[in-house]
Amino acid sequence: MELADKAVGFLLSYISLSVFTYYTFWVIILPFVNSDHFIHRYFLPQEFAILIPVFAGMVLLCFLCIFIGYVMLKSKKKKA
Amino acid sequence: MKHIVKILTFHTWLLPIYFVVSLGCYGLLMVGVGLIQFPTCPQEAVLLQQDVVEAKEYLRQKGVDVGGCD
Repeated sequence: MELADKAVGFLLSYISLSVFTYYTFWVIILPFVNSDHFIHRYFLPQEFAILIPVFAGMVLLCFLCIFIGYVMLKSKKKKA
Repeated sequence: MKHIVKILTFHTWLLPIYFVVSLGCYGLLMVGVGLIQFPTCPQEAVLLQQDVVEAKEYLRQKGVDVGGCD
C-alpha cells in the first residue's frame, strides 16, 4: 500500500508545482512581455488571475460551511 | 513609462492574492513530499493488530462494549 501513498504524494506535488509555476508566470513575467508575443495565447486574460483564486477560495469556504452544517445536523438527529 | 505605472497599480491588487496562492501551493507541496517520504513499518503493523485484539479481549472480559461505534 505504500506505493499508493507515494503515487498520491507525487501527484499532489506535481499539481502544486505546476499551479505555482503557471500562476507565477502569469502574474509576474507576463506583464513585462510585449503584447504581440506568441506566449500570450497560452494564458487567459489577466483579470482571471484575480478572479480564479478568489472564486476558488469562496467555493472552499462554502464547502466547509456546508460540511460543518451537515455533520451538526446528522449528530443532532442521531441524539434525538 | 506610463504602462509601467499601470502595471504597478494592477499589482497592488494582485500581490497579496499571489502570496496566498503560493502559500497554499507550498503547503500542498510539503504534504506531497511528506507522503512520498513516509516510512512504513510492516512489523509494527502486525504487532499493532495483535495489541488491538488483546485489548478487545481484555475489555470484553471487563464488561465494556467493544462492538465498534456508530
